[in-house]
Amino acid sequence: MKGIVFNLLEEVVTREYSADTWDDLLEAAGVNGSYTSLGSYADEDLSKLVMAASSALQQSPEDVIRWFGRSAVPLLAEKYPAFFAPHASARSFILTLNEIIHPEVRKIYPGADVPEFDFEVAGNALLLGYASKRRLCSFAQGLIEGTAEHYDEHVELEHLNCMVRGDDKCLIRVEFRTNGAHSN
Amino acid sequence: MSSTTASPSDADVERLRKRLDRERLARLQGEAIAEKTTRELYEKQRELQLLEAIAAAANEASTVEEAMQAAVVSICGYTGWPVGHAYLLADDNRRLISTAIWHLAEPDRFSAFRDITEATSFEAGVGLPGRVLASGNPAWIMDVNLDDNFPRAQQAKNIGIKAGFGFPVRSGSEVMAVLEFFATKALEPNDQLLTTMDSIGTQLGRVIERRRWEKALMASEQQYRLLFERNQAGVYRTTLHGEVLACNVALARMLGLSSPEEVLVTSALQYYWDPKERERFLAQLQEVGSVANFELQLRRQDGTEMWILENANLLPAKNGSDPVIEGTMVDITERKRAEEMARHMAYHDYLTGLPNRALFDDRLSVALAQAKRHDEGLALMSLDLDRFKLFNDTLGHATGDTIIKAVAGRLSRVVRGGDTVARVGGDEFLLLLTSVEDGDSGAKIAQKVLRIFDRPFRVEGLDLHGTASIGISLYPHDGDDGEALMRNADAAMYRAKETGRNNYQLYAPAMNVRAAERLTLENDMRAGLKRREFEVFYQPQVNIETGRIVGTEALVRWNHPSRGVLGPNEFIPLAEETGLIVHLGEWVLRNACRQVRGWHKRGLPDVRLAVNISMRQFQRREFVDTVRAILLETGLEPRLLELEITESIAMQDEEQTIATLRRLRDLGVRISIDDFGTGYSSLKYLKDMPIDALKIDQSFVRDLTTNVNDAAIAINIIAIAHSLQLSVIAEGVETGEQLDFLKTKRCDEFQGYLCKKPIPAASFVKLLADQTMGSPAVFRSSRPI
Repeated sequence: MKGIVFNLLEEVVTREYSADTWDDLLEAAGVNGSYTSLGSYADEDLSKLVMAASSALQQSPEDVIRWFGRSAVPLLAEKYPAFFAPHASARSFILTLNEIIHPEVRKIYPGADVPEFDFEVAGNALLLGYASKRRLCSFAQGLIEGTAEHYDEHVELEHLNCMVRGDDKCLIRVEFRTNGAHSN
Repeated sequence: MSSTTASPSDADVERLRKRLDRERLARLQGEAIAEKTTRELYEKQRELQLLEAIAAAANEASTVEEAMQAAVVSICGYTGWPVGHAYLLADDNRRLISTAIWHLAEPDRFSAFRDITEATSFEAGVGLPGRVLASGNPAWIMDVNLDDNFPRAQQAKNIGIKAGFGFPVRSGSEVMAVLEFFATKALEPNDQLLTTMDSIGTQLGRVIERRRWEKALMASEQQYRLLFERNQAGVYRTTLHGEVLACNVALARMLGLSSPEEVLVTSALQYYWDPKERERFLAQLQEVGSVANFELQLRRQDGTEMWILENANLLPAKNGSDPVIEGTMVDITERKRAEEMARHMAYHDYLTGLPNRALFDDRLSVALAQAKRHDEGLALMSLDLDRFKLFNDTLGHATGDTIIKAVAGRLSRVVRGGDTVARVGGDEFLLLLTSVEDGDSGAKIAQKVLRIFDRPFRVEGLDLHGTASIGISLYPHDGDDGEALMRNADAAMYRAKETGRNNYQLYAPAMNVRAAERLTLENDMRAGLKRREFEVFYQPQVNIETGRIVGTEALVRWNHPSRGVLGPNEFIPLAEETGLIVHLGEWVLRNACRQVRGWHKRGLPDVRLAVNISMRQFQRREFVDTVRAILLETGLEPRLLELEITESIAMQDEEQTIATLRRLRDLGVRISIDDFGTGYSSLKYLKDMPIDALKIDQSFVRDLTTNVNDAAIAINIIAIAHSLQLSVIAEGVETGEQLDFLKTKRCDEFQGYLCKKPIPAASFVKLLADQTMGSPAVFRSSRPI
């Protein structure tokens, strides 16, 4: 796991809660906690942090990860506005994931093990395929939801298949609605 | 969460200290990562430089060896290893052969290692290079001193070689060469380095592959170039404008130049005999893209003409280049010449080279069409050499051919350029004369033509004189188609023959009737011989001194069924021309001999029988035998037979004539010369020839008493004959004065109307009987009886 993910988590926790909360979380998870964005760290560290937050917040680990993803988007949008600017909708942005976003990630963080998504357009919705040994589909969900919020949209996701539930591969149905439409 | 107090609690301090430790640790991690990344970047750049250097050297190298030498040096520079070497795969594909490709940082130090390497053969699996060859993959030896598959271990140890690696130069899975490198310290395997080396091996493999391909291409190019250069056919490339881009030696030679370079500076256009042919050639090329079996006349560099057979393709313009014509040509001049010869022979006479009948017919129809269009006249002349058959028969065909050729030459020179002379038979020529408007101009030309016979034809030292008969028909006067003109010219020619030869006749409508009559006459004569329509008449020959009949000349008469009795002059010339004379002459000789012998048997006095022999008879090989046979058959005493030959017979082939005459004389037969004085009257032959008598021609006798010259001739003939011991007989004596004159000049005998004209056998028998019965001599006085 790339250090940038831990840095992001630290920033989200510090922003949403406080620097002390991050200290507590590190303490609770029993991890060393010195992460540099260029470094690579054990996936285990992330699980430990998620489990610690889960028990502290009395939330499922998936919900914690989903929250992390949703909360990370505004930070990313601040840090890398050029990736968001060309798009008018979350759907348009997400469809560039494989071709633009992840290749850029690999340039900055050599060796980054980013997941490959496959997309299928189903009417208004997207069918999103995800497979990763890290089984972080919830993180993906959170990021998608955060992106929808960034574009002032509402999105509904449904895990048709899920690795967390034991499937080989996740298949997530993603349906976008503009908030205007939703209010009707 | 902690409270915001002025002095931080210990817990806060501890928290901050931990946070600081984390940050410091993260910074160190980050720096380490940055350093590592920078180092990797540097390594990567060096590796890239190495690969680039090797790629550049490979591209610049002219041989595979050069490329590998550059690689060995570069890799030694890159790794810092002091020894590098290359092997090539042997032709048997199972061994590696050491090459002269080396890099030795310290040559003196490593020379022993180089020598043992070059002396060792590395089979697959043996030593470091053998392992690479066997596996097809790079191999690393940490320390050769510890390796049990390193044949050069001793030398390596002596000079301190320790670590080594090798990698294959590959094309696909095929190992074509192996490179090896050695260091002087033991080293752990460096996979990254081997990966790089492997890719260098692949790169060098491509160089070898490319060289092989280039070699194959060159070989192929060489083959095609030889095919081009050594082709017997001319091969070329030109532009549409005729600029010669390339050609081979054969083409240069065809055009009369010694090298292709000389052709390149010329234009294809200059070789065309007819520039229109070039246009035709280009039009076809541009329409269908190719030209097949195009026959063309070219002009060689030296201006001589040649024929070629050309095949060409048009290569269309491509990538901005101009279209190109590619083609081959074969010299077919000889074939064309043969064809031309065949065509010429089909339309020309082989002997004289003059047009033959077929070509003459062509020219005639063209000339007629033209004359009709322009309303002009033309003349057709039929020319026949007089008595040419005799020439041929007596002097041989070679002489005849020589004369024909000479006549052809003279005829060709006498006519105008546009006129045609053709040889259409043995001695028959046709002349087509254009723009002849009337008979007068036709006659003038005919006179000119006849004058070519004024000069004799000189053949093998002999001067031979010939004459010709010419018939002329005129367009449109005598016919408006070729057939009619030809027929009428022939008719006129026959008329010329009838009127004594050596002259010309313009066609007159009556001539066709005559020609038809001639033909009829000939047929009648053949039939008449079978039907015994011929009869021998006898004219007495009288001794001038005694007035008694001493001989008789046999003369043939023809009792023609519809035309009555015909004299010799009416059919003998035709019989001579057609050859019937041989048959007729023999018939006369046999019948006369039989009749005269019959008279002797009946007790009538012996009279001499004189028979005319024509040249044709005399020239026949079996003539003497025929005479002997007839004498035996009839029982006539040879001494009573006298054969009369003409001067002209005597003049032909003197030796042969003398031989024949001797044989006749040996039979006991007499010989006399007929019509003496009308021909050449050579004294020489009189001296040399075995003859017995001369006959003075009636043309001298006729005016004997009125013309001093004729009298002088007659007197001289008699004098000469007597001086040569020959007897003399005068022909055509009609008056007593003539007889008296001859008598005073001591002429021996005479014949003529003064005594008797030729009479039938029965009448002659009666005459003889009367003379025997004691009646006075038939002729004694100068008065006619």
